[in-house]
Amino acid sequence: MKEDFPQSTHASDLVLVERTLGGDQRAYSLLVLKYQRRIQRLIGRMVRDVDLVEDIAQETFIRAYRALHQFRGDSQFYTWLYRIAVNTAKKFLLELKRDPTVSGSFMASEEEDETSWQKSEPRSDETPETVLAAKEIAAVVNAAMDELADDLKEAIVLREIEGLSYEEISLAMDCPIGTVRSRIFRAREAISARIKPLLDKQTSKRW
Amino acid sequence: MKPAAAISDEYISAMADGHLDSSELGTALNSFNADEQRMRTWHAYHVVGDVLRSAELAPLGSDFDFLEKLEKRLSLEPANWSTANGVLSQGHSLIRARVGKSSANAPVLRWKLVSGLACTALVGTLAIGQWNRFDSAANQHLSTLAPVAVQPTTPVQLGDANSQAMIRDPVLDSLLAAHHQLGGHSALQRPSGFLRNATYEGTSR
Repeated sequence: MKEDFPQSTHASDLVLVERTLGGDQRAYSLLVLKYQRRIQRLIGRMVRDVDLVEDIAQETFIRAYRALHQFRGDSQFYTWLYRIAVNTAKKFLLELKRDPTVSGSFMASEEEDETSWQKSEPRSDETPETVLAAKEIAAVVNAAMDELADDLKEAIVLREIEGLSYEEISLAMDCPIGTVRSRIFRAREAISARIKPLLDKQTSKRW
Repeated sequence: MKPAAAISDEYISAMADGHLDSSELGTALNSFNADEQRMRTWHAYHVVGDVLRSAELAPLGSDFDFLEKLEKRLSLEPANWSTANGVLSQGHSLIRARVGKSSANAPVLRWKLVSGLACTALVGTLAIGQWNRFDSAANQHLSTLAPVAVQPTTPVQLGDANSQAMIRDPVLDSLLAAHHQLGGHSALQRPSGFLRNATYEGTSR
């Protein structure tokens, strides 16, 4: 499994888990918003059915919520969540295999996981509209990155792509940590200001 | 600590990176309840990071619709791990320790118990060893103690300096030398297998 999340997010995940266990359900929602795309992508590589992907992702987060007290913090929260998602998807697939009324055409190979996904195969939750919307978001993010001032661009790249901590970025860019924090924030603000209208369009009801 | 509503989105950005100290973190977390727009900001920041790492992670549908469905289901979930029914496991305390909020010194207490037991065992071992050494030294001393020819001397010590000292009375020694029939080990205050005591009765009786 590829661990491409910056390491220092582990600390904030632990705090969110602790807050959830303390009764703050909003903290769990923050974890869901953070990881649901990766979980849905993972499940989408194992299951070819559009509706099943979301059902399994929902079930994954429900199971994780029920078992949250067992999360010891030894591993990254996503690693723990990943195992739950894989097991949940396998259980769904097993039940589907037992059902003689369904064919296996929407099931991926059991050996496939997040790293073995073949790019040529369409993802189960892809429709022309959603693919177009996703591509538009990706294009806007890249365009916004190109427009950033060099110091902001460097800071956000070192953080999000290289996964460096603020201390490491501070050394690399030869500036105080407060400046690093400010540059990363300004970069995020500039990019998210461009994508928020697109994200709002995707949201039908609540926000 | 700043009021939750007054903090900048910069706190949310730093929180997403795990770079807030505990007081700032509390404020930032509370701000999510005070201002629902913070959730959108949190979401947008993570979408930016995901897309920068992989274009595949651009959201295909509404993440908030997904969340809304999930929250409805979660609201029906009993919090089985709540402290109310005592199920909250060891994992929670470990997390507390990792995030540096553990005020209870449970691990310290555990080590105190261990060190206490170790000290007790050590003291016990040493005491038994000392007792055995003392016992064997005393036996050795007694076994090498032969009946001593009594000489009228000034008070003397028997045995070496480390062993038990006996002060001898020269008057008694000379008396016993003159009356061997009354003498014996018991008169020297040493164990005797055949004579437990010696008495002298004078003519006055």
